[in-house]
This record gives sequence, C-alpha cells and structure tokens, in this order.
Amino acid sequence: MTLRTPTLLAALMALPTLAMAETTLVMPQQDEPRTLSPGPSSDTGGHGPTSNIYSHLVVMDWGIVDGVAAYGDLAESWEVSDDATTYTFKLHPDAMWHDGEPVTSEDVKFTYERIMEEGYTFSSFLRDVESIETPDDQTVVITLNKPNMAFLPMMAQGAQWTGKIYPEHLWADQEGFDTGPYVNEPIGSGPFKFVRWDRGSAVVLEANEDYFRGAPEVDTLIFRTIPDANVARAEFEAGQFPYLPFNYAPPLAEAPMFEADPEINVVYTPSHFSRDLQLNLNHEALGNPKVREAIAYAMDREEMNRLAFNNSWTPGYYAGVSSLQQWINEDARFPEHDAAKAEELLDEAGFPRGDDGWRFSVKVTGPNISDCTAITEILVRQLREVGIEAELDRFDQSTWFSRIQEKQFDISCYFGRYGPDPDAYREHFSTDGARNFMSYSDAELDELAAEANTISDEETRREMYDRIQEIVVRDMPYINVFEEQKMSLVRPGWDGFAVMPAGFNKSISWFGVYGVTGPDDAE
Amino acid sequence: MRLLRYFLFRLLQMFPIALFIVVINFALIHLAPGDVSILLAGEGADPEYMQSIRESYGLDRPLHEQLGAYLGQILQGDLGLSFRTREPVIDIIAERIPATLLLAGTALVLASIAGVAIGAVMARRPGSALDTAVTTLSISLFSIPVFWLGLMLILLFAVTLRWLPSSGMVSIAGPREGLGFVLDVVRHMILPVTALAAVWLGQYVRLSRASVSETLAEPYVTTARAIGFPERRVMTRFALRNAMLPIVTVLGLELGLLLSGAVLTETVFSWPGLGRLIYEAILSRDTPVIMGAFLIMSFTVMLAALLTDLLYAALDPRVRL
Amino acid sequence: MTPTAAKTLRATVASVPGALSLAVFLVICATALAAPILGLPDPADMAFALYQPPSAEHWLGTDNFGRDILSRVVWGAQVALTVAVGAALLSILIGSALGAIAGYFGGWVDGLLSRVFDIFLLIPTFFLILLIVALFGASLPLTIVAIALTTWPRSARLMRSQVLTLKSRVYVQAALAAGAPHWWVIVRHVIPNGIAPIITDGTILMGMAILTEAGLSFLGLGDQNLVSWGSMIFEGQRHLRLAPWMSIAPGVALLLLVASLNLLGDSINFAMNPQLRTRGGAPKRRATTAPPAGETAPAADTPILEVDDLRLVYHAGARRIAAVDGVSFTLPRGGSLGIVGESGCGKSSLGSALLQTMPNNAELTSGTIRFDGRAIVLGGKPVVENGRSRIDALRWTRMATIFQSAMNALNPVTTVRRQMMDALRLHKPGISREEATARIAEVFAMIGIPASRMNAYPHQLSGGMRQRAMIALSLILEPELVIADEPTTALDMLIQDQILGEIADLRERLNLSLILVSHDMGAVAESCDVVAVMYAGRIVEIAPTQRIFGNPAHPYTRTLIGALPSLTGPLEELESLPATDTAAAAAATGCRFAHACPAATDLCRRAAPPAVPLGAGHVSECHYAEDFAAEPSSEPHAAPAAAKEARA
Repeated sequence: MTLRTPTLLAALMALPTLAMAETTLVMPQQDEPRTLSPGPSSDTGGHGPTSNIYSHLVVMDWGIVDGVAAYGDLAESWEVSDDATTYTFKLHPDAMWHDGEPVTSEDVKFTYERIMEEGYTFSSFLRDVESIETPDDQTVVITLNKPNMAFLPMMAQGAQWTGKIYPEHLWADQEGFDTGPYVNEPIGSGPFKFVRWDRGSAVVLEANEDYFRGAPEVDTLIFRTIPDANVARAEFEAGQFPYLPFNYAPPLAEAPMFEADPEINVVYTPSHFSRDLQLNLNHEALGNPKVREAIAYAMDREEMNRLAFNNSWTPGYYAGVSSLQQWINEDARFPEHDAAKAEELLDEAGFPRGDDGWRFSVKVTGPNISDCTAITEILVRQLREVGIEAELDRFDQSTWFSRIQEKQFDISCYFGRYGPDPDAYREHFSTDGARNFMSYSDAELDELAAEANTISDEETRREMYDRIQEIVVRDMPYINVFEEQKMSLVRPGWDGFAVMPAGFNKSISWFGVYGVTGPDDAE
Repeated sequence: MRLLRYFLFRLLQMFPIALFIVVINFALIHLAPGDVSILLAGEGADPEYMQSIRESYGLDRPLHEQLGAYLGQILQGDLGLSFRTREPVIDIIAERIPATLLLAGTALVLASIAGVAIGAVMARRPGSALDTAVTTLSISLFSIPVFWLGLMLILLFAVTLRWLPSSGMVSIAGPREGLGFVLDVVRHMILPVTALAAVWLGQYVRLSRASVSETLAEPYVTTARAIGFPERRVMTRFALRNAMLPIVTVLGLELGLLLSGAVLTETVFSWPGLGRLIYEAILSRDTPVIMGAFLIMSFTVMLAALLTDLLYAALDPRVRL
Repeated sequence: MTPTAAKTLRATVASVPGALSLAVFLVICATALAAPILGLPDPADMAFALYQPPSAEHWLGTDNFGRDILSRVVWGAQVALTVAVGAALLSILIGSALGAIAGYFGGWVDGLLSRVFDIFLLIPTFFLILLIVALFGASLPLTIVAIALTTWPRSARLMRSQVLTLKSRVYVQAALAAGAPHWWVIVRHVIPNGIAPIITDGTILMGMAILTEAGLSFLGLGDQNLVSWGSMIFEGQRHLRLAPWMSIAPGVALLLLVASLNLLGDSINFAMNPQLRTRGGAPKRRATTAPPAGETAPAADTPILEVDDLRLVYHAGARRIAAVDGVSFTLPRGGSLGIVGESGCGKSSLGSALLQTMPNNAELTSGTIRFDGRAIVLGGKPVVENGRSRIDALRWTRMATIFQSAMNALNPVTTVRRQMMDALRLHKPGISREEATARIAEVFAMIGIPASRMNAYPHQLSGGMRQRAMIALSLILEPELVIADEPTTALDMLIQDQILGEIADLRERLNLSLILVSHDMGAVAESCDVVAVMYAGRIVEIAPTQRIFGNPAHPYTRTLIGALPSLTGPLEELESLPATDTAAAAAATGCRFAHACPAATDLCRRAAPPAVPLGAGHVSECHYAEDFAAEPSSEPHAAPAAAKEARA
C-alpha cells in the first residue's frame, strides 16, 4: 500500500493537467479566510483570494521596486498638485465588474467614504482626506487638508490589505462591508472571478476573460489553506504546488541544498525592511553614546551573515535599505567590526572590565522570527567577547512587542521599515514616533522629519533625509544590521510571482498572481 | 437507576473542581506579564481603536467583574472569540478535536491492546530472561521523548526513504472523498501513531505486567487452580478479569488526557489537532483559545474520570454505589 | 548509609538492569560534573565550520552555528540533572509535608487535601506547565517550580498512605504521650520513617521532570541562555534534512538518562520488594514421573493419605529455604489430622504441597505422597498417568481445600453461586442447570447459608458467611479429603467456634477425612483425632489429641499449649527470612529448637535429636522426649480448654 498509493495519486494528478491543457495554480496560504470581504479588517487568510478578485485604486507591495511610489490598478494615471494636497486619478475605461457593470469613479468614492464612515483599518491611510470628488465617471479627485508627501505611497501600500474597491450598485443597500450576500460570494473587478469556497480547505477562482488588462494566463486559481510550514514544505517538495512563498520558507542555511536542486529555483526578494538593533537609551550603559558606538564596533555582520544566512543577506551599513537606494545617504555609515576599537571605547566610556571580566550586563531580546533569533544569538556571543555580559531574553511575539513598547528591554532586534516613503524615518526616530522604542530624542531631527513630509521638491526632501541619516548614525540610538531579504522557492518553468522581477510590475501586490505563467504557457 | 444516581452524585462532586480549574485558568492568564489589548488592536493601532477593543473584551473592568462575566459566559458554552482570528473559540476547538481523537485514539487503542496482551504474557513468566528483557525494553520505550522519536521516524521514513509523508493529515491535492481519501489519511497517520503508540505501549506493558502478576498471586487464582480449572480459564476468568480493574482506571485517565497528550506529537508531525492549536495559540498568545482549550481539556479529563468510575462500578461489584 | 539502604543498594546492583542503569546514571552524572575539565570546546563558541558531520575532531559533529555538539551534549547534561534534582526535591518536599499533614491529622484536613490531590489528577499537567512557562517567561527556575507544582501530589499521596500506617506505631504514640507537639512528631518521627518509597519514586519523578523540560524546550519554551537537550532537538528539527546529527545526539542522551533513571527506580523497587519481580506467574512446568510399578488396588483400610519424607524448598534469589524438611505422616480414611505451628513453620507449605498448588519458587525435592494408595508424588515429582497428572484427576472431586482468608480466596468479581456452578460444571460437564442449582442449594443449606445470600458477591457477605461459602465451595463435589488451611483466621471468636464446630460436624456426617492446618492448638484440639506440631519445617511431635495435650513430649509443644507467650517470637515470613536455610541446616548439627529451648543442653546443641517413639502413635523429636512424656502437663484433662483460653 505504501508503495502503490503515491504512484496512483500521481497518475490521478497528472491526468487532468494533460487532458485539459489548462493551467491550474495552487497557492498555499497559512490561514483560512475569515470572510471574502476585504474592507472591514485585515484578514491574512482573505488577502490572497480578495486581492485577485477585487481591484485597487493604486497599489504597491511592501517595497520591491526601485523608485516607484505606487502602481496604478484601476487608476490608469494620476497627477499630484504642487502643494501635495490634490490627487487626481484617471480610471481605466475598460474596467468592468464581474457582473458586467462598468467600474466608475462613483465606486471609488463610495468605497472610500464608507471605509471612513465605518472606521475600517484603511481609514487610517485616508486620515488627511478632506473630500473625494467625481467630476466624471473616469475621474477621482482626492483633496487633503494638509500636505502629505507620504499619502500616495502609504495608501498604495495599505490598499493591498484593506483598500480594495467595492461595486456601489451591489453594496449601497448593505450595512458596512460585512453584511449581505456579497460578503462571501464577492463580485469584483480583478483578474479572477470567485467560483466557490470549500470551508476549511480552499477558495477556488477562475480567470476573468474580460479583465481590463487582458485575461490572465492562469485558468484556475486555488488558494489552499496550509497552516503549517512543515506541511507546506513537504507538499511543495512532493510537487503539489509550484510556489512556496517566503512566509513558509525553510532556514536560509538550507539554501545551498535548494540551489543545488535543479527542480527548484531559489528566489531572493529585497524589501523595505531591515534587521536592526534598537538600543534602549534609558539603560545605564546604553545611554552613553560611546557605548553604543562600541557595540557597533563589537558587532560582526560578516560573521552573522556566514553563520546565520549562508552569506546571502546584505549587511546594512547605512541607515536605509538598498531597495530604496535613492534615499540612502552613503556618507552616513555605521562602523565595521573592530573588537579592539570597541574595547577601547568601552574603557573610555567608563566601563572597564571588572574582576570577573565583565563591564556591564545587557539583555538581548527580539521578535520570534528565525532571522532575529539567529542574529541575537550570535550578537550575545560577540558582545561577550568585548566584555559585555549579554544574555538572551526572548519572549513570544506579543509579549516581546508589548515589552519594547513599554521600553522594558535593553537591546532588541527589530524589523525597521524605510519605505515605501522616507517619512518612515519620522515614525522611527522623531521623539513622538510610533516606532521610537529607544527613547531617542533630537530636536533637529524632529523638526526636519516633520517638515520633510510636506516638501514636494524631491531634491530638497532628499537633502533633509540625508541630514536625518547623519544625525541617526552620529547618535546611534539604533544600529542597522542587515537588509531583509525574503527567500521563496519556485518550480522551474513558473514565473511572474510577486516576489520575482517578472511579477514586480504585473502582479503588483504580494498576493497578486495576475502575472504568473506556468510551464505550459512557456512552450 | 442506581448508576444514574451515582453518576449525578459524582457530577455534583465535580462541580467545585471545575470551578477551581476555571479560577486557576483565569488567574494564570491575568497574572501573566504583558498587555493583552495590544495584541487585539494590532501593532501601532490608534488609541481610540485600542480603547474600543478593551471595552468590547471587558479588559478595562475590574478583575472580579471580568471573572464573573467569564463564568457566566462559560455556563452558556461561550468561550469567547479568538483574538487572532475573531472566530468563536468553541468552534475553533471543536474543529480540531476530531483530528486529535483520530490520532490519539488510534494510538491509545493499539497501545493498550498490544500492551495489555504483552504484559499479560510476561506476567505468566515473571523473572524470566524474556520478562526482564521486555520490562527493560518497555521502560526504555516510555523513556523516549515522543517528539524525538517522531523526528527520528520522519528522518528515516520521510526524509531518507521517502516512503511516508512527514507531516499533516491529508495531501494538499489528494482526493477529498472515498477510499482514496481514507488511504491518504492512513498514510499520514502511520508515523505519528507509531510514535505515540510506542511510548504508550511501554506504559501499558508495564501496567499490565504488574497488574496481572499481582492478580496471579492472589489466593483466588490458587483456588481456581486447586479446583482444577484449565490454565486458560484461570488466566481469562480470574486473572485478567481482575487485572483489568486498575488498567481500566489508568486507561480512563489516559482517555481524558488524550486531547492534551498529543501536543508534542502533533507539533512534530504538524497534525492539525487540538495539541497543535494549543501550541500555536501559546506562541501567538491567543488568550481566549488557551483558556478555552485548557478548560475543555480539563472538563474532558473530568468527564473521562466520571465515565471510568461508572465503568469501574460496572466491572467491580465491590464498588458501592 | 543505613543498613537497610546498603542492603537495598546491594540487591539493586545484583540485577543486570539495576547495575546497568546505575552505571549509566553515574557516568552521566560524572560527565556532567566534569564538564569544565574535560578539555572540550566552549559549548557556545561558534568557532568551527558549520554543519560538520561527526568526525575524529568533532565526535558528534557541529551545528548550524559551528558549535561542537559533543560539548553541548555534555553541558546539556548539567541542565537536565539540575532540572531533575531540583524538581524532584521540591516536589518531594512539598508533597511529603502536605501528605504527612493530611495523613497525620485525618478528618477534614485530610478530606480537603485529598481533594486537592485529586484535582491535580484531573488537570492535564503538561499543558498546565506549558501554560505557566509560556505566560510567565521561560527560565530554568520557573520550569523547575512549575514541574514541582504539578508533580507534588504524587509524593503527597505516597506519603499520606505511609503516614496512615505509621501513625499508630508505638514510637509515634509514645512521642505524643510524652507531650511532643504535632509538628515535631511529624518532622522527627513520621516523615523520616515514611520517606523511603517516596525517595524511590524520586527517580521516576526525575525522569518525568527531564522529559517535561525537554518537551518544553522542544516547543521553544526552554531557558534560552542554557544549553538544554530539548532545545538542541528543537534547533535540530529545523536542520533535520541538512544535519540530522544535530537532533540525534541530544535525543540519545535524553533517552539514556531518562531510561537509566526509570530502570533504576524500577530496580530499587524490586530490590525492596523482591516478590514484585517473581510473584504470580503461570504454574511452572515441573519434571514428572511415571506411576510406580506394582501398585495394588486400594483396600478398605488403605489410608486416604500417606506422606513420606516430603521436602519442599523455596528459592529466594540464590538462597534455598527448606520450608518442609522431611515430613512423614499417615492419615487413615475418615481420620482427621491437625497440623499446628507458628507462622513460618512450613505448615501451609505442606498444605500446598499436598494439593500441588505451591508457588513457582517452591519445589519438592523429595518425598512421596499417596492418595488412597496411589502415588500422586513420587520422589518429589508429580506422577503422570496417560498424559494426565494424577493430582489433576483428584482435584475437588476427591480432594478439596478450604483456604484461609476467604475474602481473597473467592473471586471477588463473581457471585458465590456462580463460582460454585463453575466448579460443578467443570467436573461434571453433563450436569443440567437445575441439577446444579439443586446441588448448590443443598450444600448451602447444609453449611447454613441462607438461600437469599446465594447470589451475593463475596464482599457482600460477613466474614463468617464468606468462610462458610468457601467451605460450601470445597464440599460441592463431595470430596473424600478436605485440607483446611487456617479456615478461621481473621474471624472473631464466636464465629471461629461456630465454623470449627460445623467443620467437625460435617466431617462426621459426610465421613470426610480432614487435615486442619492452624497456628492455634485450641482449634485443632476440637476437630482432630491426631495433632502434629511443626517447627522449622519438621514435625517435631505427633500424637493423638488427648495424648499430646496430656503428655506433650517436646518442649516446643509445651510452649504452644502453655499460656505462655512464645519464647521465640514469631518466626519471620519465609520470603524475608528462612525457616531454615538448608546450607545453615546442614552445617548446624544440633536440635533446631535448641536456641530457644529453656531445657536445652550441650547434647541438644551438638546432635540432632532422633524421632523417639513413645507408643500409641506418639512420636517426638527430642533427646529428652521420654522425660517430658513422663511429666504430664499441669492440667492434663483440661488441656483443650486451657488452650482455648490461651487464644482468648
């Protein structure tokens, strides 16, 4: 039985593919959808299906493309006024709902206004919106009550989760976006139409032949719920589906194994995120800038890269990430590894080695994600070598997060975000920034960051952000360690997934599969 | 009728224990460090939203009121909503129970039947070389960390030999009905059931060996032999029948712990059961799910204990009802 | 080390699993302690090439950070042992204290605490530990405390039951009478005396603690700053395909340590209670023999039972204990023989030898038993005829037995009637239901059990009723010979007399032959024609009842019938101490009773006494038998009555 069943299964599997010469794509996802209405709240299980059923106004994934602020989805083009307060979008004239009705600017206005009324998650991206007007069926004008250079990129990036456009003619009579017949049998305007939802296992979609950008290559799209990374991996290796997204990815150390396997392509995707160290400035020793500098010297990114990432990550020496290269100030650079220098600085800072060999003690924590786990483990080692008595202090994800919010930590690994707009620096480093866990405060930086968000002249903006990076690297409330890189696995012959260059401008959100082509299409 | 009254009486006795468990559960979660509301609202949510979450979950009320409300909810079978998926906890748990019952139930049935049989045979030759060897082996079996045994099985049969799937309960693209589906599930079950059953087998061999050898030394067995009953009959009618009593007790308790007993095995084999759910809930600090699972499991144990008592009463005339 | 502990240790090491597990455990302990001086690399040092398979340089390979796995396994032993010892100690500490309090004070305190112990039985403990550690943060001390918090009821239950038996002991009562406070009595007297089994259980607790800690670590809830085997496996799982050795080595270490602890606990337990290992079992296959040639058909005056030079030896470990050491007697048809002696004298072993129901560790080394003139045991071997053992053909139909302590001699889960029915149908397969029921009713009526009690379970009957049921069971097939082994022990005086009277009555009515085994001269005096007194495996004196009471010719008989307390004190149980050790007996040449005999002389200590025939079937094994026989006991004619008073 053990021997025969797989062969039988394989034969059964192969049959439909050969007979119909259709492309069926199975996409694994970790969570079962809660609903198929994307508006009310972020739903990790629903994003996959809904991102392919619905369209967005503009959209962008978490930062894989250089210099692009947003992709137009329903919006064919847009203009921004000089004072960065008026945004005029032109919609695609051929866009149609799956029931055959045309998509109009009223749909956009209806959707955004209802989101704001209901206070849904996406409303936080629309916070500065004063009015939405629809001069004609193809034009949407959004006016802000104050200049915000980050509006478009932030809204585009938020749109892929909860900012999808609903058809007004079907939803106008419903309460919110969470009641009525279309919650779980959605009618959208995206590249795939809803077919059925087998609760607990799969959501099945089919190609929308009338999609305004042309029918997709994939005929049948199935989102299969596989909560477990081990299962997903085993099934991927067994050839059950062609793409193992990064959220399931095995340890980077195994990358050489996959790279050596001709049946698997390893795809690395840069992101807007870094891995960095947040230093709590309230700590007796870490409050001293010399100590922070010493830690920067004590840290050996190359060793970390070798031990933890198979040398495949890019060490982060700047206060930015190279996927947002245009905003990086290359003159503001964190020091390279120099243990002797670190010890010297620590001596100068007034923390000589004690009789037991230790200068002071720190606890190192971080989120419960595998790369931070590796970084902190190695960091502890490296700090101990220069006489800092470092210890690990790990928690589950939410405890860790509440602790760093309450500033109950010494050093924490963190996933700093630099995009999609450099306004992210304000969030991280300004005194009242939502992600300023370090208790860092610099008057000049506060002022610069607030102002830079309102400046539309790119050159002036860049200079301001350059200065911000200088200040941050000078004071080192945090130390950049690596640029995040996502590893996904793809079967040969398949292309166009969101993480692959061919998918960057076609599949446009993490969950989009519009650009995907299978091996049959390639022939 | 007598059984029913006994049942009700025992049920009544369980009540303070159940209350105690509920209170422990509640106390543990609320004594723990960390702010639950942050998880609910999500990272970086605005304070207004956070407040509304606090209100809707009653997190800003005094603890005793929360406890009171919690007790009231439980009485109505409402275990709250999962913080993570916003689904009713009772549904999430109910959804996972069949998988756990399938895995742990199969393992328990196999282990107990084989274990009792082996133990009984060994009890007939106490102190023999075979008996010593089997005793030593069974002790070694239950000394194996089940998760490690699971890993080793995966390493051998899934990774190296590629005979069996390493994880999950069904193939992603496998059949969803009919014989094909059953076979697929069976293939997925082999390794986890083997791991779990091996460890339990050791326990049951020991238990049965001790219990049967104890009854074999009882005077009534000597009486039976003196009367001249054939050895087969002595073994079944006298020895096993009496030896089953302590075994049934352990089996009953084990049955109650079935739901939680497989946390490690389910984690290793990514078996989509209750144990795995608990593990996931703990990692994501999904408090209502953790509390709910703990309650359900404790109640299951209590129920199993109750049923065991009843079964025991039915098997052993000495139990006064 | 106390002598008992030393003895237990010796016995533990004597078994192969015991010696092996102790050795493994000690090696692991020694390695853990010696970790700093073994010259291994720093377990945290990420100094080597990653993912090196085991090699001469790295015996167990290196891990994902290039650390030496051997060194990590060795250091991990420290963590495992810390958890084991810490959790077990804490658990025993809490458990013993609370268990002692519950058992000592009883009443509502006991009720309350027992309830708490029960609750813990009903809590999924691993999950509770998981919950505690997950909520309060993973650290070794917390893990230890959490494990102890959930395992202490185990120690508490053990201690409670220990205390329940201890608290009535003389020294505890004496301490209390002397005015010692309760807590002092508990700490000074109760806990130290009850702790042994709890400490043995400690090895099991240690194993459990290690597995629990490993399980937690495997779920990612281990102490992150320590090298624990569980967390190594946790790490190794992620690298299972690339570096399987990362998870193999710590798992093997875990298995070895936990298995050695469990085996050790098991072996100690066996060493303290040796019968646990060997008790029960199926009857041993014994060497058999063919019937002797030239057996004559039994005549009317053929004795119902003849026993000649019967020897029964127990094997206890390497020792051999002769419980029956050359016993001979003859019982005429319809006669009755009382066998009397203190516990351990071998009288019950003799009884079991007659019915061939002795335990597996007992063996007949010599002797002949004839039933109705036909040998059933010859040269110590059961006689087999036509493929069937002769004794089997006699069982219950011609020769039955009344066992002592009828509570346990009857199957507790079957009704009395059903047991009789089974016995009846076993030997009379053709009997109809009605006939069987009628026969059972008849016997019940004869014994004096009301018909309404027929369907009762043994436990539902009073002690006397139960004993009557046992007698009824023995008579159901109308046997010719009944061997009653202490049929009245554990019954109150009134009932004892009734039962004995009934046995005597039945014997007359049914013309039964009877062997009555008892420790009680009075009981025997009432029912038997002849009395045999056993001491240390031998019949030291045998005589008709009147004679043995009137002219006891052995000093031991005199102590038995006198109202004096025994001079020797009760002989210890066979399992723990020999009645006579055959080796010792061979070396000793004197009289067995000499050490306790008030009249012993040098001759007694030097030479074994001969069997002195005193006429009229009176034989005594004493150098001075004739002198004793000439000197009647103080009140010869009132002897049975006196013996009866002695019992009271």
